[in-house]
Amino acid sequence: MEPRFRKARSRPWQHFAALSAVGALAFGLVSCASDDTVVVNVYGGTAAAGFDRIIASCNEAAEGRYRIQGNLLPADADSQREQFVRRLASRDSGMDLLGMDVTWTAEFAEAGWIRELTAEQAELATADILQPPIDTATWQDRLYGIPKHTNVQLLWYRPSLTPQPPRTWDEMLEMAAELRDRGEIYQIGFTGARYEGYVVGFNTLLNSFGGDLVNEDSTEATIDENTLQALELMSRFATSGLASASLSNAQEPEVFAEFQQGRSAFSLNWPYVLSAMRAAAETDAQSRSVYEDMAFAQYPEVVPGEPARVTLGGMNYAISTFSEHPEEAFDAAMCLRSPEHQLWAALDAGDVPANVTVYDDPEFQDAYPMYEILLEQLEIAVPRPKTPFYQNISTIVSSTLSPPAAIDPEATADELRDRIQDTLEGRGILP
Amino acid sequence: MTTSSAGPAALGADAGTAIAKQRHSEGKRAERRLGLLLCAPAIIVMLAVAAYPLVYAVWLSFFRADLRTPDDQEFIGLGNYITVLSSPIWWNAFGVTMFITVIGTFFQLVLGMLLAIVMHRTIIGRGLVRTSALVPYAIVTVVAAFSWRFAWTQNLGWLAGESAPLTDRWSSLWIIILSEVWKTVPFMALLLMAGLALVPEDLLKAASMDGANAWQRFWRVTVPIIKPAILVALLFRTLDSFRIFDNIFVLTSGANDTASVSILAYNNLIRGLNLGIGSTMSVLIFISIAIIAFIYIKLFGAAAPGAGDDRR
Repeated sequence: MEPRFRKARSRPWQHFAALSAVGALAFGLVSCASDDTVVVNVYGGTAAAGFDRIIASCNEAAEGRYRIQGNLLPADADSQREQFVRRLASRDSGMDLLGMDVTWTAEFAEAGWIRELTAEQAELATADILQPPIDTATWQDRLYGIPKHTNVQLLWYRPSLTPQPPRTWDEMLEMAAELRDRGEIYQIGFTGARYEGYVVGFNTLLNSFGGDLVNEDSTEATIDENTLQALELMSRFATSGLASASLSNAQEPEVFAEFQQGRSAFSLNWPYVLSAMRAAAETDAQSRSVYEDMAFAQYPEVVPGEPARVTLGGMNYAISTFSEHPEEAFDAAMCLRSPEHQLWAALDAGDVPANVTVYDDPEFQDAYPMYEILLEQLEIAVPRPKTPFYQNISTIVSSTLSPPAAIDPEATADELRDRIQDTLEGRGILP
Repeated sequence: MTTSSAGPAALGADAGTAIAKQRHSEGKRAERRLGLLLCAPAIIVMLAVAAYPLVYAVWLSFFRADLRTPDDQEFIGLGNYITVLSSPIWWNAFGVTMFITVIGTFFQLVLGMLLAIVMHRTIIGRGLVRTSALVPYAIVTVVAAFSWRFAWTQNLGWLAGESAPLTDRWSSLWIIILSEVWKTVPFMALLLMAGLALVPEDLLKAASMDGANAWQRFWRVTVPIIKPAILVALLFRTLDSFRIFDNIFVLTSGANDTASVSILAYNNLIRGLNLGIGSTMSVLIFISIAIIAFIYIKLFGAAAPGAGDDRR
């Protein structure tokens, strides 16, 4: 080895030749990669299971007009938003298509970071799409987003304990109390930790009573009789002893785990519970026993006789204002969420389609036996408060209502009103 | 005096002196010019990276400025300061920060001093002791914080077991302090060891001859001599602790009322996009740090070698 090194060192031209060869090779590779095809950079949702397959399929369909490049974002929504916000605020042109959480529309639109769709695009983007997901992509009557997938929570229960699921919250509380008296498992799973998921749960109660947190154009906090009723129900539930002892720390994984371990009789959670339990049942005996004894029902009514207005989850695509290829980005988005690809995403990643036709597909119905209930709930589901300040309001709601057992309806309502109003006027401080 | 002898013999001594003086001052001026020139890049860079953002932050703190409502900027004078200073959230974070700073710095000083003495007095395996003591300081804070977080996670961490200490306010605060102390004791020890090296052995021997025991030797001889080193170490650590961010960000991200002022500023500025409020908080943090530094330097000045001569 030694002599060879010496030899090489003594002939610098060899180095030069080698370096140039490497350089030429690298240059060749680079020029290969950028053979004038427009690259559409997609951020958000690209880490979902099977998404690379969808991208590949769309790239093939584009026939060289553009090439979709999937990019990774952090795993949690807060960090995702942070990266978007930071790069958009500095007018980064490297992001074309943004996979946005449904709650960001107002904020990004108001800040001028995402493009309003043209009339023609809007028509294409909303055709065959359920109305509530369209609402989440709209801010002040303008459409900014291309709905991709949606989501609503359901009631999961154990037929061996309660053959008939409760129709209302009151009934659910009664049934749970009865089960407790009989010495059976009785807990009700609910996401009550201080985070976004708690706001989702509370927003469902509030909207089902007919209330909302801010008015239409997000200038005023709307705290009224409905808010008081929602707070009373929340407080009654949290202090009834029917919730899990760790209610104030429960996020989706905890709520799911309690159900899986057979500790809760009722569980308010997203549709992923079914596929997750199915997967767990394959290896775990405890999970199998629950899987064989579980069912789903409509989210319990809050006002008896009126179906609950459940909070929407999901994701929309938006085109960055700073994108240099908005046309291609739009086409790419339409392909990524075509009915065919939404079906793939539903089967692979558990994304509930926003596209109506997918619900007619036998393959989908097979994997989502709760599709009829989903459709019914989706028809009247509600978005979270539409305001550019949603992020702050969400933080305020989850911190003001935490822990759930400490809610004092009158006082909490006043505090909520003051703090939301402060935020809307730019005086709010985020904890 | 000037080098008058350098002048040609034909000239009078006075004239020679004058020329030499002139040359000398010319040289001095040229030197100063060169000095300024050499400093200029540094000053320009400093102005660009430090002064501009600083001034801009102060400027922004007088505005209602939110990235989400770019058309709604408005000069509101001290409005943001009133909002922040009248907010219980701010004072809670300030209290948390002060608590972490005071308690943390105290433990860092005590443990740092112990470690410094050990390292200073080690005879066998000196290099090994010093190197291994420095390991925590060499680990990137965020990485270390993640290992602490996992160690204290319910059912997962070896320290937590069935409990979930990071979901409770006080236990979280103590864990934050623990990780902060663990990380910076080596740094403290390093600074203090430099001080210990300055203590003349003769002095300690003389004290020993006079009948002073180990504690008296430490307290009456060593501590007064290394006081400047202690104060510098304390100053550094207090300023650093007051700006604590990464440890809290990883361990609790400010949940359960464990946010420091820096976390709060980050939440409002980066997460909340409220440039006005966020900048106001940053300016307030800057002012607090300036006050702490001022107090210390006053103390330090009084205790500096030479300055305290009259007291001896």
